[in-house]
Amino acid sequence: MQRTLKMVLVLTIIGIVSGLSLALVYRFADPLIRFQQLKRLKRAIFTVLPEAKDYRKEIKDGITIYRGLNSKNKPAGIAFEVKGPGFQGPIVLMVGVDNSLSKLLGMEVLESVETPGLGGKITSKEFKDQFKGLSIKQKITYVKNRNPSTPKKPGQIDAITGATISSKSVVNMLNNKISLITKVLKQN
Amino acid sequence: MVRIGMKENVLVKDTLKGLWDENPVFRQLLGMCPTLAVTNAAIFGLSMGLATSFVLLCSSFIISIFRKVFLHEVRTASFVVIIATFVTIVDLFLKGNYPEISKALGPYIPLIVVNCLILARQEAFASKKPVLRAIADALGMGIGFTIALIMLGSIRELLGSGTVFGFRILSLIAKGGWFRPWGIMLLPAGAFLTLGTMIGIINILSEKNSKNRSVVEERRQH
Repeated sequence: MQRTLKMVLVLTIIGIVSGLSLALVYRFADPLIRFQQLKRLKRAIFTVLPEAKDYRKEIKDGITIYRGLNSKNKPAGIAFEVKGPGFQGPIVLMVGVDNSLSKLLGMEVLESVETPGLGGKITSKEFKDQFKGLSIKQKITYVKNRNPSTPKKPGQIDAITGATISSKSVVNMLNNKISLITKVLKQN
Repeated sequence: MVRIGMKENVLVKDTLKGLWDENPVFRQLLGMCPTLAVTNAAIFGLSMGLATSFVLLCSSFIISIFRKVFLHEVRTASFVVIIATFVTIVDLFLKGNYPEISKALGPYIPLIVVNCLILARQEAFASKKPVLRAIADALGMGIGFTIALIMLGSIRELLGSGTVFGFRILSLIAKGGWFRPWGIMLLPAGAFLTLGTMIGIINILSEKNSKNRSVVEERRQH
């Protein structure tokens, strides 16, 4: 019994000391971590809303949007997060649309674990640039192996060769979120 | 010639063995999981190596100082709690100061807790030896681990992306060069290929080295 008591005591003390140390470290780490997350959010918003100098967070019907404000404090587009399943795991995007909800202003990939060299190319400049100025008056569509002499239709992007599923996921989640945002915002 | 004292000699030996003779990755084959998973770029190999070394050093230090305290039956549980505490500190530190690296390494930072290298050193060495020797051992193992990960990371990054630590070494076809990235090097298959090849090469070198050494020994005796 003496032995068992000692074992319990040793483990308990180690546990307490460990817990206290972590609580102390966390006190310093938590504000720093929040700061990093906010920094990342801001950087994403200002990337997809090129004219915004500030933003205002709004929540409508449980949907969070970031209304961009330009230097004259006038609306400079709306940014929002888009989440969906990719090929290897979830994809999280930050997307900017113009005030009239008629075209995209930019797209940034916040989180993705797609296959490096294939689906991973959704984070490449070439892929993301396709979304700048992309019309959303209709559903976004993608095309595979487009002949360069055939122009793209409005709202159409080139899928990544060998990464159709990742490209398709991005298109689908964008369409879903955009129609949701349009419905919610047009209501008000 | 300076006579190194017995004590310093032992400490130096403790450190150096982790670099080659008992290299955790190439000879002991410990900590294979992070080795294979995060070495698709040199910077990730470096980061993981440093993070693991930090945890190894701190835990070896603490466990060696208090080595009389740990009751035999609960020693593993005690070690793991201590290791996990330091891993959490590293995780919080990375999230707060280097969020991109934290994101890239993902679940493999928390998984340092179960890196058998750390537990093995505590069990086999730190819990039984005085503090200075435990620190020397942790230092050597940590450096050896980090060097191994940097080597693997550099090779895989070079062949898989044409860069090393982000610096472009081989110019891509798309930009007018000749290099077509060997994508598979960035995937698990590439990890196994690289690691296996390196272990093979190092085994061959070690055999040659010990053959030479025994030949020299023989000659010296005659």
